[in-house]
Amino acid sequence: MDIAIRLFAMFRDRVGRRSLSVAFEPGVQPTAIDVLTRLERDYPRLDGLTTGDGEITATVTVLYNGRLVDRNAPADVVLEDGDELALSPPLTGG
Amino acid sequence: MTVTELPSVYGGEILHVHLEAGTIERESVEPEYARKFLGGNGFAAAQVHEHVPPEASAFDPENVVVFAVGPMNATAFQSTSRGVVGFISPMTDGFFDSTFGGTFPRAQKTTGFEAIVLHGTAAKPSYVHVTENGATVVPAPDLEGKGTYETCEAIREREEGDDVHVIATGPAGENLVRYACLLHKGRDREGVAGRGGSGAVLGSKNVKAVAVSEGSFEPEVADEAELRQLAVGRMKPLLEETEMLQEYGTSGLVNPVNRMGKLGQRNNQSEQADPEAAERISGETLKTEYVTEDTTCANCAVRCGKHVTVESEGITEAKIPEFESLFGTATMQEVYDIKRVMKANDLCDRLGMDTISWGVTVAFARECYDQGLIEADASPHLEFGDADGLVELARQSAHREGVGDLLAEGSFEIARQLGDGAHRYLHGVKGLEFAAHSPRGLKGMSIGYATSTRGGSHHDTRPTPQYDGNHAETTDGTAVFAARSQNFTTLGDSLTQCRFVSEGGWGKEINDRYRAAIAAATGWDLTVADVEAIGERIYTLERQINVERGVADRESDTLPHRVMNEPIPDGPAEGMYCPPEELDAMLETYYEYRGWDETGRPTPTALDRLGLREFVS
Repeated sequence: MDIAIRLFAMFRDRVGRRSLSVAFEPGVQPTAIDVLTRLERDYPRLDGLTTGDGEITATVTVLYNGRLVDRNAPADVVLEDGDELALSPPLTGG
Repeated sequence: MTVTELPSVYGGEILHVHLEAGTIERESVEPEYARKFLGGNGFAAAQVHEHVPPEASAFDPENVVVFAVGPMNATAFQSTSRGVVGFISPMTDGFFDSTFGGTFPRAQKTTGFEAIVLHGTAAKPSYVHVTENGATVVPAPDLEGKGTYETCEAIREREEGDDVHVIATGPAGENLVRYACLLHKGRDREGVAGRGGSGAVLGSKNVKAVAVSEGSFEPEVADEAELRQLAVGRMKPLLEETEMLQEYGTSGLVNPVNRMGKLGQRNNQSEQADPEAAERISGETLKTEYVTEDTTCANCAVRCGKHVTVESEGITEAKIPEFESLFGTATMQEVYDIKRVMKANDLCDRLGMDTISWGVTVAFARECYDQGLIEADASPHLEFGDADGLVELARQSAHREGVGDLLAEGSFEIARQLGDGAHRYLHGVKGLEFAAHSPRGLKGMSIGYATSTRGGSHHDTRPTPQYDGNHAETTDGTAVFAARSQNFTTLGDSLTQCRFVSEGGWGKEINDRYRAAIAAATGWDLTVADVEAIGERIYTLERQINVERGVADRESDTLPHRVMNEPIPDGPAEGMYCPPEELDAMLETYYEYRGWDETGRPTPTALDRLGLREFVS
């Protein structure tokens, strides 16, 4: 199964791409924390910027199909084939 | 607590300029006045309340324009470099304060005048030149019709000094376009007092600009070492939390907010653009293709300002469109031609118009045109998606040409003139068009906008905590959050600290860090509750001004038809809106928390608690 990743601002700069896909073995149901951990492994410039102690760090806003992922409970978000995670820096409101 | 000495961070005086006679008065800032109203926003509200009779309209000579700075300007407390313009607004007919950055406020601080209050109307087109010795009203008919940047440069040349800092109206202000703004061309970056129509009020006074020559006053902090230590301790979180602003400015919000499905499109008929369309107007595209340099206000490490160059549009080193401007002039229009959008924004800056109110007004007119409420032959530029028309409408609005004469009145007045259900397409409250943050998709904005003293302002209740999941999709505790956020922004605007620096470095609500910093600067003995009360006191005074003017009550604390009756049609936030019964329940809680009665008036008990009884009639 494939999870779509959309990257904004510095996350795009660090990865060097606007979007990418993360593949998991068939039958695996990854959580948001699994996907973020995989991203940090594959892209060292993201190391420590998205997760820590099972939570989402204060340096990133994570959207699951456009909906905000609770930074204290990313393991509660179980993704399916074709779902999307978007990563943005925290949003300061204009 | 009674205070008997004015802290040495204050310059100590308020300068009154009487425009007809060209005379001045110097008023001492009383210690207790400073303790109650702090500075900036607080001084502006107190001056407007004292000098403008409730029956005076925005364009009457009795209206004043107040330029106020904060007590901690030019101290180690970061980014207190903003200025506040206070006045009765031609958009809302209520109190309005509009803030701006750059170098003008720092220069004003060095004159020792914490506030400059312009009274009456000048006999001839003029500008006001302020020095530490007072002010001169300088006739300048030759500046009529000039743009904002041009005016700033002309006055700097005339006054012969690099130490002269100018804020100016454009043709829109002279033509009384209701949402005309003021633009300050600082040494490095621009500052725009964008919202509420400050440029129109200055225009009504026959004043083209205000210039300030740097003086010799330097604030003395009560405990310099303590304040410096506090500020140093906040640098790391400040720089970490504002990284996107440093790299992209506020335009970096376009893509993620659009992805949330909370970015108004086509006059807010929907709230999500095709991702590729959003990409074309995003901060990422602007940075990659058009940004030429970072710019900054005085005493700021964030450097959120950017300049853009678009050779094909004849734009060189122009101010980058902010997120709010991209909402007003791009997504609300269904225009994703970024070059034309930048041209329209640059024109608004040069002609002196608020990009939010102008953009939302044009979007409103385009929907009215679409619905047949504006006649088909009124203008060839009123189709959604017309990028060239957008640019032409900016020029026409500022000069009140053709349909621009109607657009210059703002969407609420247009709706009143059109009748026939046009109000259903409004996107704003109390006469002021909404900023970009969704009143349907963010519950805190629903109640925050509805109760805002400024109308559709995103600097009363803040969206920032809501984008992190707090009070965005629940009404639980949201009314109290909105009220406390209003106290927070009012305190920040009275300190004149940049909101981004407050939120990123010092905290998104009033806390002990702010208390400690104010105490170190002033020497006052304060609790956190005392500091919260300062914000609440000033916000309540603003409300009281509006109550006395007859523009603030339960009936006006509302939301427009679409927000209360039409759920977001699609996207991740599909189904969200704020039905009337939901707003009613939040209002009840809000009034109770504030100590206001069921009609929305501050009660005598609340006014007594805040020490405001002697300030109100």
